[in-house]
Amino acid sequence: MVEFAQLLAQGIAWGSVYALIALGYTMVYGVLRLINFAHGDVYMVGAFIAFYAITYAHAGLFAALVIAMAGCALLGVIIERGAYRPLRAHPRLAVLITAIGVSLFLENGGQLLFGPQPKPFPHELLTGGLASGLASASAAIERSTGVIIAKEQLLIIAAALIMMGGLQLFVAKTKAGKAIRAVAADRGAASLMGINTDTIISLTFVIGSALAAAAGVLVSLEVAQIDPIMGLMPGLKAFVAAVLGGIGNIPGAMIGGIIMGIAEYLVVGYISSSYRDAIAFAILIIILLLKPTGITGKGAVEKV
Amino acid sequence: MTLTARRRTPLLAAAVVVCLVGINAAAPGLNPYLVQIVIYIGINIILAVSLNLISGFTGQLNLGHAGFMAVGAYLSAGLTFYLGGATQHALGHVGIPGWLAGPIVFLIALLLGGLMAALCGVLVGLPTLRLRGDYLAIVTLGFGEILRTIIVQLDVVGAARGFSGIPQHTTFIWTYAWAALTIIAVRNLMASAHGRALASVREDEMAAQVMGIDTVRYKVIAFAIGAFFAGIAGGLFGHYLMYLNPGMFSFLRSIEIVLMVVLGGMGSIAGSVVGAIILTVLPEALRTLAGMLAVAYTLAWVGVLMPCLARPGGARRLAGGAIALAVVAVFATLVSGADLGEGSRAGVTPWLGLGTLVLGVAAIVAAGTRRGVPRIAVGVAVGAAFCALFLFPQILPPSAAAARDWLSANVSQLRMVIYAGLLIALMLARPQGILGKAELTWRVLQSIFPVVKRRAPARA
Repeated sequence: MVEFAQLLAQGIAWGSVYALIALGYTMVYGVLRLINFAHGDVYMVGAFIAFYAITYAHAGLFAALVIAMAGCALLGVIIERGAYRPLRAHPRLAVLITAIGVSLFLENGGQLLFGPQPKPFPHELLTGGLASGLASASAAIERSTGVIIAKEQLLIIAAALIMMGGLQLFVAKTKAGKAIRAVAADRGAASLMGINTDTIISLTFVIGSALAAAAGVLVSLEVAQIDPIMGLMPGLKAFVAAVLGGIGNIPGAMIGGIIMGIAEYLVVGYISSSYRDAIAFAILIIILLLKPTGITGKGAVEKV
Repeated sequence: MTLTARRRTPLLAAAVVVCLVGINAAAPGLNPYLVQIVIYIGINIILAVSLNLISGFTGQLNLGHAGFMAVGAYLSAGLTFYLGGATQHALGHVGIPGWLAGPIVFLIALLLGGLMAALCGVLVGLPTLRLRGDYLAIVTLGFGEILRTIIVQLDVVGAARGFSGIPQHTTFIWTYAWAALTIIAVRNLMASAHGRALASVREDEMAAQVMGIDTVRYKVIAFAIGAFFAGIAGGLFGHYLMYLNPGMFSFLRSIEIVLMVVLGGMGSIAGSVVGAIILTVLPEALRTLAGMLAVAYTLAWVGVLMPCLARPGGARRLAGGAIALAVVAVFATLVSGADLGEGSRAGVTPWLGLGTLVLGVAAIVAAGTRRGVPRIAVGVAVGAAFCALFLFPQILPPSAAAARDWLSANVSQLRMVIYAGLLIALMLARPQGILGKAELTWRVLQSIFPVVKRRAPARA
């Protein structure tokens, strides 16, 4: 039973990583109906910006986090302006291809710029009141249930929950959030209502990319090493998680991410680590067959 | 003399067969690296055209084509590896000579691999009953990854170590015969009533259903046929390389095939061929500085050609321009591909410069511009500058020479960055793909090359 709980906890922690990345995916998809393949690489760039800020500018963790988020927000806008906006009137597949192009560009540019070898990420930065609080929470969990969960993992779970909540509040309560929902529902009609759709789309990229950067920094704290292709697999899985939860839906991204994480860890624990990816994808296919628009998705009414 | 359709089709077929046999005979004497690229082009043509049937003509985004390829590759390789020898032996007993037994075994293995892939295609196609659009795309992606993970566990085909010791059967002629067969099959299918049904699924699924088309059935058919040819391509690939590794069939391979289709033009067979050629040659060409310059040179020609293509009627010439440019690109990059050692550079490059120059001029003439003279001058100037880089390095200023040396040293790392940049630039320049939905028909060819006379219209 403890073993099961342990796997569950690890799965939730790792699923929160997917959820963090999936939030940005789902934002962009909701507004543009675009699978932003470059999202996982923005996540990588965020981690590297923080790495250089910490190593060379001796920034603290929070300063590095803010710098990385700002840098990636800028990068996201540049990507949107340069590679996606010119193709907005064209079929979605054209944009998909430029998204793949941007992804390849960032990965290989990263290898050229940062070097292909993994770099150790300074994870001992997690200090101070927050760290001791997390450490005591981690110790308390271990004492009461016997489940071991690292303080970095707790931080990721908490961050995923806070970001999801914040994003949900932002989208539901603010005027800009309302505009985002309007653009997602019908871009043409939103434009007729006086919403500057270009600005709103840029805003979506700013938020999505900043979230990706935050995810990159937090995950690097736990994994403790970074490399230019670190965004590839988590990016793909996070996208799958977003679809699983019902893409375009913010709590859906969280649910999807956590289901993926738990499924992977249960497979690793009870079956075999080599079937990890296969079974994760098999679960995805089964859930999609049962709920074709994802767990939180509403069936769209087809109009004739 | 004009050629009517009835006469020219057999003539063309005969010409193609003669070319294939000739190149096949010459292949052993050619640079093996070049032969390998040409065979990969053929395999990628099969993959791109078959994916185009699923994604371009039927409109179902498929992110798992490499999975079908893997099934065909592993099954056919396993068959020839474990049963090939015994079967050849048995065929010998029946009185079939040895030179024929090998190809027969290979053909059977290929077909079985293709059929198995087609079966997987049906499995992937069935969820289309409930899933649409991106959700279906994710299922195809997941299916491809599942297939790959299963192969990693199969010890009988080498698991993660890779499967080595596969007999080499694939030759130039095998590859291009199958490529031709794929093109003919997809073309004829799309010209048939079934093809119209497939296209109707892409255009408007609801309307197609209202018209009484069983859309799920047609989507499954598209997946099955596309997967069959992908399986064949996999078999050809394995029996050429003599080694298979699950990593070769990752998600990125599927994406590469999608890139070929979209870059060439969704729903254009000629486009898929062009896309396959470009995306096979481009990464190879970017391996050397000379190749990189050849790409830059080709792009310069594109820039020179673009204005002519933008003129009224230019769309029709686009196909011709694209073909001519593809020829330029293939020639330039293949020749520069020979430039592997330092020593060979001096001998090869003048020919590269001269050849691309000639072909570039031909491209402009083929694009049919009367006002092309100044553009030809630009092209000649670019070609001359290009040659000068290699022929007379001593005239370069020291800073340019230093830049060249730095590029030469770092070319391998820059390669994929430039590749990605070009990909983005190409899509921004032609969002509908290089050929859009245009096909290369006799009519288009006639408008490009007026040598092939159009039959004079009857005058009233």
